[in-house]
Amino acid sequence: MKENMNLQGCHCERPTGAKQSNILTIVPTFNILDCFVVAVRLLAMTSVLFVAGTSVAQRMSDKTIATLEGAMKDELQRSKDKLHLAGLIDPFFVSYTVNDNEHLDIGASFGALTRSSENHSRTLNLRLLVNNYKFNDENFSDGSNIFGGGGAQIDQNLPLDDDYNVTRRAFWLATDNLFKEANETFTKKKAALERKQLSDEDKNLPDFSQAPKAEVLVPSAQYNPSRTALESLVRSISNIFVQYKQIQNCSVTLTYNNTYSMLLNSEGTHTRTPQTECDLTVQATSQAQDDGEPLSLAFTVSETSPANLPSAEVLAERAEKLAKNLVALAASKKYDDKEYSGPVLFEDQAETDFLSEQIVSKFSAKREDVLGGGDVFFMATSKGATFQKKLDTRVLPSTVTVIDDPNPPSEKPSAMLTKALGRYQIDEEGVVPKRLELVKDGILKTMYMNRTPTKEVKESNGHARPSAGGVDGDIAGAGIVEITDSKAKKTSELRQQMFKLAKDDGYTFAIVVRSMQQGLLNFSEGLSNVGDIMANGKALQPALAYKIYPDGREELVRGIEINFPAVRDLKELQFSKETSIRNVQLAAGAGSGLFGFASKVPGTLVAPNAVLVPELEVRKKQSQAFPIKPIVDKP
Amino acid sequence: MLNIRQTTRLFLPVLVFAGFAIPSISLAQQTGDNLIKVLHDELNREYAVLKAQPVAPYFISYNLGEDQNVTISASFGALERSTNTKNRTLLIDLRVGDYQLDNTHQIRGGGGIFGGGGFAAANSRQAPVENDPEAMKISLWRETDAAYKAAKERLEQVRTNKTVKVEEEDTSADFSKPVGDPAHLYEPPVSMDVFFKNRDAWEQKLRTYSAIFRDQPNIYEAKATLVVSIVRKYFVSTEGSEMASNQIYCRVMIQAMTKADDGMELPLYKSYFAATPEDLPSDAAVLADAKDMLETLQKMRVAPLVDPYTGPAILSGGASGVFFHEIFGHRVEGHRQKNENEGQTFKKKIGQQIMPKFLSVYFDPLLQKYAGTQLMGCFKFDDEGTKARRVDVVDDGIFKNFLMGRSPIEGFEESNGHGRSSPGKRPVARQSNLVVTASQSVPEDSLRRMLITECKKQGKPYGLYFQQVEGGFTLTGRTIPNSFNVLPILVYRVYADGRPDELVRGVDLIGTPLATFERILAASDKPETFNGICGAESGWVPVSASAPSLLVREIEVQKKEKSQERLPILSAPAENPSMKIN
Repeated sequence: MKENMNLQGCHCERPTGAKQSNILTIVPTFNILDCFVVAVRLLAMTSVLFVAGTSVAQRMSDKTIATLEGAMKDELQRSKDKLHLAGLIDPFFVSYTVNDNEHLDIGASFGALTRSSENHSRTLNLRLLVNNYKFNDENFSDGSNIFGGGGAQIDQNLPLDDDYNVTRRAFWLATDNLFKEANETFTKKKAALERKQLSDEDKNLPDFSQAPKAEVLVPSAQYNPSRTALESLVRSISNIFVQYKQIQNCSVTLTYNNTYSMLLNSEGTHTRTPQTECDLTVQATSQAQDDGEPLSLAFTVSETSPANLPSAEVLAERAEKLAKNLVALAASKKYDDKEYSGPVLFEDQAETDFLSEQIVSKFSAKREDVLGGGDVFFMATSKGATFQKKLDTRVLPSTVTVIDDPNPPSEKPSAMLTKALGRYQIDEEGVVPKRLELVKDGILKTMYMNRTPTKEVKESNGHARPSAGGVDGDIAGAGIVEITDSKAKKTSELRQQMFKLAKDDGYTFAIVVRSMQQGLLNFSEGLSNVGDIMANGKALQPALAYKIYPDGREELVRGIEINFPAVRDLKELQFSKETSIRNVQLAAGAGSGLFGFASKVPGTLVAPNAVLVPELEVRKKQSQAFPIKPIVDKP
Repeated sequence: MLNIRQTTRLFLPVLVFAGFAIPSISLAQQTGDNLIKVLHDELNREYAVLKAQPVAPYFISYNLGEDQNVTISASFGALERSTNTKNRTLLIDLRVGDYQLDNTHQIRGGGGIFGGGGFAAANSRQAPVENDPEAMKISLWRETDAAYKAAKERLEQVRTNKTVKVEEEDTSADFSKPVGDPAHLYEPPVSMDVFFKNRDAWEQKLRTYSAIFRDQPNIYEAKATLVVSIVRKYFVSTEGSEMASNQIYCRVMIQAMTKADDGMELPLYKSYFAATPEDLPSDAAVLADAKDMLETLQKMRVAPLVDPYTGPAILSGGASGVFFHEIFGHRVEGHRQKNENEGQTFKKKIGQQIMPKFLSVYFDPLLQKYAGTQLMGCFKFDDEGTKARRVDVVDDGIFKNFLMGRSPIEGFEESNGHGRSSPGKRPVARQSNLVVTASQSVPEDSLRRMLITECKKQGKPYGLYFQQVEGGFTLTGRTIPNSFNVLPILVYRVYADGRPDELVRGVDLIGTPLATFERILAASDKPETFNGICGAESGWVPVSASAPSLLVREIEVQKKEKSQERLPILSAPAENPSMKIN
């Protein structure tokens, strides 16, 4: 029951949309489609040797793959041929996916493990649509499910053994359920539509776009982490915080997901693709010495595998720096009550977050809910919409270009190739990703699209991405996104420019932000920070911000928030010349739901290291009474 | 034996008063158990400072629960899950005020949108899984601070609430004084790696058990599961209790489900409990039961639907046990008599006859075995550090006593060692080993003859035989019907005219619980035990219920609501891919 609710949750957020305004969209014929067939056979090493749990090559054997795909293929064929029932509308599209997942999860606090587990699981994902591409059961929610809904998709567990029959059985029952459910949804949708007056444009917008048949078979990735070594790493980083008396809590977590997805659909698409990600998060909390404000600093390092994480020394150094910053923050005074309206420079983590949330997330198109209903958890936030309605107009400075190429040419640096989190050869819906020129000379050219058409862009461009934690199912989002500014300035010049702007505005200092609140729900603290997280939907919440003076002096400022930049602010952005390549969970979509979170997709950001916003409003956070400090001294 | 209780809890502590010192020769020193010493030392350090505060705690306990769990399951012969987890949860009970009125007192009248009223929420937290003294102390320090602040704030709310609301019906204290000496118990730790070694062999066993259902086109779910659970509880309190004890069980469960042609889902379950994996039944025994289950399922699929019926019935020993656990046991959990939202079925029944004279009911956590069966609801001390003891609840049909934790109720001021919880939950009065005894009994076949006689007397063509029932939801609250909560899954018609028994499906029990006890006519001389895991507000705890078969003069059943899903459109896929499937 619960699982069901969750998976319903996937539909409501199914984003879509993108736009390509003056191009007439032509649905390709099958002949053309065939030309698109990509057959990437990268069977590097065919068989897998498992020696004492160490795989020397890909971790899924040919035999395993053959068994799973055999069960999928046979049941898919039977569903296509035989799944009819008088009075029900036949399916026209069925897609089967098996996700085989190895998961490692380690946590520690103050030098001791708080958890450590390793788990292998296999799940099926099923999508089944009835009627036809133009009008089917997706893109509809009647509010009967509080998590939204519409469209039929199922996730459920599969056996861990390579068992043809039991695997096929699971697909059989799931398909049967979904077929019935899709019909019920379709009937409700049809009835709802008949009650509404819709524009021709809304009426004619197809529910599901055609996509070329594809065959992309990428071998599975190795899975051989040293759990003991990673436990030591996590433990030792968390031990750094023991010596800081002011630090009340700390948590270091490492999660590693190594997933291999096998997809077959009724259009003849066949894909196999690995998805691996290792995230290391360090978080520590304290309280301000003067007013007791709870303070939290955190950073996350995301890479494709534990082996690609920075060295233990580098991580320890970052944790140490975080601890020192937190201690300094706890000792700092609360920001005075003056409102600041002037230049704000984003650096470090804060800059990555800024680019992700304020720019990249806005390239995700989402189909509008014209039938109402919607999802009760959707709460409008002032974060603003995506760029969807701004196609062919300027959204960034005219010197800026944004490209997304999930499968870049081999001459690019390795950080954009094998080590790139955002690299993929086939998307979650079995569509080959295209190189997108999202922004050219500051003008928005297209959006990230999956197979759910929007008024603006009607075809998928291969950007259906797995959302973190699967909250939103597959969402249209980034791969490897590269932001370049032909008029970028050296950081030193950018700073001079900042002080000049500040002076013009009558300030002797400017504001630099280096870290943002990470919006990590604090479950271990009984969700004590829900309020703070909800504030993320109202304004930018810096964690580390400084008043910076022309003579180089820096003063920490605590307790501020910054208005979200409007598009007019984005058009005035100034970037640094120095750039870097970062693996990061990139935001996708405008953000919705209780906390105003945008969904996140694994991505790679290639961008300048600093961005200056010429004018933003900075103010003191609304003051509130904070908890008193601990009564007994820390042991 | 799943019970969902609506609310709950209460407690109490002890120590008569403030100058009290924690015993200087501690268990920690005697045993060298590192973790107990860490808990003990930090408790003392915190208590020394906090008791000097203007609003001082009068009781603090640390309840650290370590849960090691292995779960392996297979479905239709294929492994589905094989996990091995370990976590630790810390629960701090910190009380400000005094025994009579403290921060845990019920706040009447609802709160905000999340219902801020009721009893104090337990603040349970994940704790380090490693025995690192430094990390553990920091964790204890932080959580004690949070618990103290929350307790202080809540006491204010409690006082205000008491002032603005009418007098409570039950004015007994919030926490009872301790009974007997502080608990001292030390059991050595048990490591899962040592306790449970043959993971591969067990994975194979479960595949084999569940494979019985393979190739059966009408079986829609089939699963064999092994759970090995080692719960180690550390408990220290400012009253001087120091305990480290283990609660271990191993359980194999077989479950399978078919559907009748009308879409009704028909499940069957069978579970086995043992103290060690080696004590679980042999493969041959489990496989024989699984085969029986399959045969029964095939019969159930085509069995007639039950008709609405009122008349005599026999509950098998197992069914009677579940019946007593659910509709009697949960209603004699003492703290429920205090919660103003509860139904309080037995509150005014003390000293009254509530069932026939020949029946008695007791709970005994010290009883290891009953009628040859190992019991799962055993413990030496409860989770509040009170020594476990037998409680006679019904004597010759007369209601005598409630199960008590340290939340006193009117007339029952002391704990009788039944304050229980799973790690991280606040203990409340919970059941242990329930035993129903009959001073007069008849052999099983006589009971059956008596059923037929009773049918004839009542002019009924048949009586019902409840062979297996599952615990369902027990709702004891005031605002929801206070009714049955057992789900019959295997029921036969026993014909008065001598025709063979007939399996029926879709049976739903209706009626009110109290009346049922008065209608018990006779008991058999052969008790059966039902071991299970019981869930309520203080978490999942192992329990048992033993009872003889019982003949009831009148029971009321109706047709169960059924699933409206039709059968799958396509038939189950065949085993061999080369086989033609239709």
